[in-house]
Amino acid sequence: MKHQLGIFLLGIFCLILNSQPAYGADAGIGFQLQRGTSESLFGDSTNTFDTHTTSQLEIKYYPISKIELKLSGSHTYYHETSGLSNMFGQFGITLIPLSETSPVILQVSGNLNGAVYHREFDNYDNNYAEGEILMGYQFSPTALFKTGLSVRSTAYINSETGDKRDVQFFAGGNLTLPGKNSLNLETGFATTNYTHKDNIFFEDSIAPGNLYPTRYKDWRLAWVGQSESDLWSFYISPRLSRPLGLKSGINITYIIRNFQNYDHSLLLGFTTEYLSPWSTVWEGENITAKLKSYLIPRTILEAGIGYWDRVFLKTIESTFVFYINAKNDPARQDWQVRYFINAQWPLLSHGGLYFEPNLRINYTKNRSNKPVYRYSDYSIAVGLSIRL
Amino acid sequence: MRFRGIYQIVFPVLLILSFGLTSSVMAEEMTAQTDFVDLDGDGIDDNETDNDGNSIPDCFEGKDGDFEPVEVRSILGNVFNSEKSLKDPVDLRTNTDKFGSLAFKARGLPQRCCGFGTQDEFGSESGLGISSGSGGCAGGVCVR
Repeated sequence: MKHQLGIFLLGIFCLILNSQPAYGADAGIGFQLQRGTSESLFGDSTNTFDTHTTSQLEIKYYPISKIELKLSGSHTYYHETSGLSNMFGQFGITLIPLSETSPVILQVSGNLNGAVYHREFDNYDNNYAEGEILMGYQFSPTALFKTGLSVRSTAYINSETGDKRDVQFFAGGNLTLPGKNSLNLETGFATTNYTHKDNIFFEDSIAPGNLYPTRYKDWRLAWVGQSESDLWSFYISPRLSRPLGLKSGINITYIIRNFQNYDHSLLLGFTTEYLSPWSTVWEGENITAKLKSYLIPRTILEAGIGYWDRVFLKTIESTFVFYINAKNDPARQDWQVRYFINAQWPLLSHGGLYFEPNLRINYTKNRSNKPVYRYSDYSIAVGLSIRL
Repeated sequence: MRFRGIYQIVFPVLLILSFGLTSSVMAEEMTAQTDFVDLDGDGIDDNETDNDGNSIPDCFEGKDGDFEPVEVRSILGNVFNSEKSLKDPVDLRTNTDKFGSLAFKARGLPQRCCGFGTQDEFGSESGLGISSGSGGCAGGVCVR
């Protein structure tokens, strides 16, 4: 059952590749390999260390000049918690139907995705489908208006909770200001419809806010009933960017977003940050500054610092630890600082082979009103990208 | 709306304003250029050419901008139909290149942030799938 999606996607792609090619049809292939370590893989106070190795193969095919078909697959191996090793597959299509000279820009895309884990963690197996329509109008070379609508449906194949359907609408624009400053402003609305179950604790001795061994979940907690909730969120985000010297650029981005109707449902979060369907759903504020530089010859250097103040949905974490948020508890609130440095060394062979070694370093310090979410993480990864 | 202290709003605004003021000084150091466009937000002009395709703009590698682009060339050597060729240049680009040009034009369209299923555009995003494929992050690498 779990391999059906992958086989289906592969079949579609083979059919397309074997169909009568249009004049000029061509394809591209890319391969990436990465090995890294993390001091807090799950982003929680358990500080779980792990080393991972990921390989990814991606094929792109262009039957005509306005369509891109993409098939990609990746495998990640975790050296310490090997049961978390997983495969991820994606089939995508992107259509950009209008000509390069048109002031109207239209892009339509769709993706089918599937993730499969080892048997002991098959609760995380999930499929999701997403579709997106983007439209823009170029008032001048330096002024762009854009808007878009996207839909995404996620299904956890072997789990009773976690399914959700997201719909998002956004609008914004980009304007070049005097002095080579560029202002990008975006605002949007998102809604997610999720299914959740009520939970019953068999023993009062389970105290919210404490960590318990995972086995407690099975004989002290039960899920009953089924309900649906809708969560609405608004956001606004300005971004200012500009050159910094002759070979560098910088941007500052601010985001504020707010839930409108959170009903404080308790959700199964699986694990704190890592696999949870809810780790990306938050309200609060965020400000980041990023630098990109070509000052060092043959090197692309990126660095950044960011600060987040955010409130999450109430979840029960239950894979490597068992952690309960009571319904009348205050919601989880985190204050996070993150730094990163990326370096890439792109090389091009005479035969047109693109070859790029890279290095990525991250440091995260997370404070929270809940002890389980207090952690710091230092991670480093080295990788290699090859494109034909 | 939930605001946790007015300083959290004022601070970013002041930061952005001071950023804009100091930037005008630095802008003088730059060579004169028209139609500066930065849709991807990296602070560098998107129109800088990269004819060799190594991801580094040619002007940062000391290469001149006189490189003949491969996009559109007249078939000047076609003696059998030279008149038509000169009037109607033939686009010899591959579909990959043509789609790349369209994608370049559409690069400013995608939503930057704040979807319920997407991570922040920040950090070591390599696009590699070392996470769940459900929009999570692990080990500093995010799935998008």
